[in-house]
Amino acid sequence: MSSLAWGQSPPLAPPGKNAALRAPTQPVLLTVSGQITRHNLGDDAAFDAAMIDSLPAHEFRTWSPWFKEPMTFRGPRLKTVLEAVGATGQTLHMVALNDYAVDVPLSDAERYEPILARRIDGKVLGVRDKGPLFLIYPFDTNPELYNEKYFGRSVWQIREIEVVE
Amino acid sequence: MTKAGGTGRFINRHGELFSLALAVLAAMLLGVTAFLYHDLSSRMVSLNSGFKEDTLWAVYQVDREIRRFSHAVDAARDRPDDAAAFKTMLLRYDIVWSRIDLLTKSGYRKQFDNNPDFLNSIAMLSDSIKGSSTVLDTMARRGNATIDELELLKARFAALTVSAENLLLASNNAISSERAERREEVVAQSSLTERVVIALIGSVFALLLLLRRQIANTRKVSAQTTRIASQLEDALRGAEAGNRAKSSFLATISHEIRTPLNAIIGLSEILLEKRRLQREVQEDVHSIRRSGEMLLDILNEVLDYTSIENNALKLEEREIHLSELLDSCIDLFRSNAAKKGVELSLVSHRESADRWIVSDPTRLRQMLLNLIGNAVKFTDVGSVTVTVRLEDMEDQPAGLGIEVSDTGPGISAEGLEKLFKPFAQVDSSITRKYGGTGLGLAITKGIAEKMNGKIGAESTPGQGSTFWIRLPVKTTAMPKPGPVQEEKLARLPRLNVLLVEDNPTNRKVAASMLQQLGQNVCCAPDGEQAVRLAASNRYDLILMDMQMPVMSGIEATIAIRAGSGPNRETCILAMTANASPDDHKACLDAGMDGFESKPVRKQKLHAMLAALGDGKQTLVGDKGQMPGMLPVLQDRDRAA
Repeated sequence: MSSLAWGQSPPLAPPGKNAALRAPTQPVLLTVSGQITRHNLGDDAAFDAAMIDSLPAHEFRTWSPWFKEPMTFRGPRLKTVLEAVGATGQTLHMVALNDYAVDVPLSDAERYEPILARRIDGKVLGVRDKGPLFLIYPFDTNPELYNEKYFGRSVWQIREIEVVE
Repeated sequence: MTKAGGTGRFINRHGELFSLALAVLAAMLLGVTAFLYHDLSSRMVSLNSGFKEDTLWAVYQVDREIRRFSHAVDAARDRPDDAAAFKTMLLRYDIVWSRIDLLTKSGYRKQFDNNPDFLNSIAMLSDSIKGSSTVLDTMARRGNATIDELELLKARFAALTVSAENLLLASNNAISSERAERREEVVAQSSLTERVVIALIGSVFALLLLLRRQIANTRKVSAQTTRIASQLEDALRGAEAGNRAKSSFLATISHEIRTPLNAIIGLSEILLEKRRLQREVQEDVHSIRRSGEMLLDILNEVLDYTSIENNALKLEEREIHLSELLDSCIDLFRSNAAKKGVELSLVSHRESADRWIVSDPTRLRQMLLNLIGNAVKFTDVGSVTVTVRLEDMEDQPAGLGIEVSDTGPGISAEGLEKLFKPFAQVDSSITRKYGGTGLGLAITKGIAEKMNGKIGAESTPGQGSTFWIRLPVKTTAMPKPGPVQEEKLARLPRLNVLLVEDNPTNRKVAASMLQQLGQNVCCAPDGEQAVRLAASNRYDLILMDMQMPVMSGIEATIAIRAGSGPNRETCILAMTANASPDDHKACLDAGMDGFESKPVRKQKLHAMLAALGDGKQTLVGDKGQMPGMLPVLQDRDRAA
């Protein structure tokens, strides 16, 4: 997995329990709601593209059922995002732009370290490309995930993550 | 019933073949099952692949998003100032775009590889949808939409909705029917597998049944075998018992016969001793005695043969002077041979001259007498030659070879085969001409084999025959009395014995026995010679035969006792048959000291000599001491 260097946006507030989350200045890509401790938009935490990009990114290359060949997915780890919002709870209710919704156990974030991919093969994802964010599990390194259960959890065109009990 | 029985028997006979066939069938079925199972499980795996569901879902999503886009277009057209509606429309288009893109680009394509119609439909749909991107991109750039553009989009997507819907329905049907087909295939495969497995089980079962049958058969055969074995055992035991019964019968019979036979022989001897008999009567009595002795010979032959058969023959080991033995055997037949004009000779090779061997003299003599006797008996013209050879060998007993060759009529090949078999005489005419039990050669063979030797015969009909014996024998130097012998003989004093016996055979036998006991033996063939010898030599013991020509035993005894010869006091023992007390008295009156039965036995001689040596004078009779006589002797002693 080659790592690509990216220009970094101004960093968010240093991680800390009650560190503040800056407000979005660009169109919101992702809204995290529910049981979170840091907000920047009412009770929710909203992320724009710059904020997403400023989080430490991770990438891996893997086969997936949606592409004919293995692709390199790059983006912040799901758990990084959850830490940034101070999420507490058991389940993540993921909702996509077309209203597709699925429940992902929060433990998956720690256990398998899926990423919220912002780029595929270096290309920034638009809606037409299944962006802006695509939850992708590292299938190649975890072949036991290569089934419908985890395909179902691999939400793309993510709009909102609700942290629930 | 018969048919089933027939099948059963058929199966039994070809049991092995059936087992093999079934085993092969079972193996094949097993192979087929394995293959089918593998195939089935791989089908199941492919069945389980959820891609088909996802494909359908993907098609459904396209259809759904097209509809939603259409509604968004309507909404934007209805509310031209609604920025949110506009944005929603743009978003909806992007989603539609992403959905059709997924359908064309993802791995889902593989599902439609065998269905070019689907691929075409999807391609067309994709082109149509993506074709509208120019319009939407323009609207997005501008930030708003014109009524015309919206109308255009609405119209286009109305058609696309139908296409999408058709595609969805077709996909669903195709996938459903494919699924159904697959399921049917799986079911068919599964039922085929099931049938194969049943066949397999069936064949295994049949195999087991066959196996069971085989085991039952084996058990039956084994039981039969055991039964037969025990029957054989019983038969064997019966045969052995029969054999033993036969032997004990023979033994009993022989004793029963022997007793009266001894009486016949003994009494005829006694009659002959009575000098008062007339010449003709004497001759008749001679005949009776000869007949009795012949009967005894036959009896002995039968007993010998029986003991050989029962492996009860016991051999002695004695030192024998080879040439002496041969000479004495040949002597017996000299007169017979001479009468017939047949030359009888002994050829002994250099190395056998004056040699001593260790063997059983009685049995050896028996064999020789049989062979030489036969040769002389059957040869009318020519010669009988006895050849003896003694081969010394290193570390092994020496080989004694004796051959009796004759110029008799010879024996045919058939005859040679039957020769040593008991009871079968070469030709029945022989039985008529020569008599005999037919056991002679069988006994000779038995003895030879018991001595670990071999016997055989060769013959050329018309020219003659050669009988040969080969025995391993231990050679020995002329025996100085060995330690045992020495002991024995040490007990025996070396006495001077006068042996008076007219029968040359008996004389030789008795003489050799005495010699073996370490005695100095002098022989006299009749009473007259005995008296003459007794007059000039002192003997320690005189063994006096009773019935002799010229002068009888009684007469000779009287003569010896009379006068003042050196043997006036010598112990004189009569050699006689069982006699009545009267005859015993006659002996004693004549001056005899006792009597011994004929033929003389060595142990008795030994005992006699031993007793003499001790200075005691014991009465020795055939059946041991006769207590009745002791007082008489003691009286006589006292009298002397």
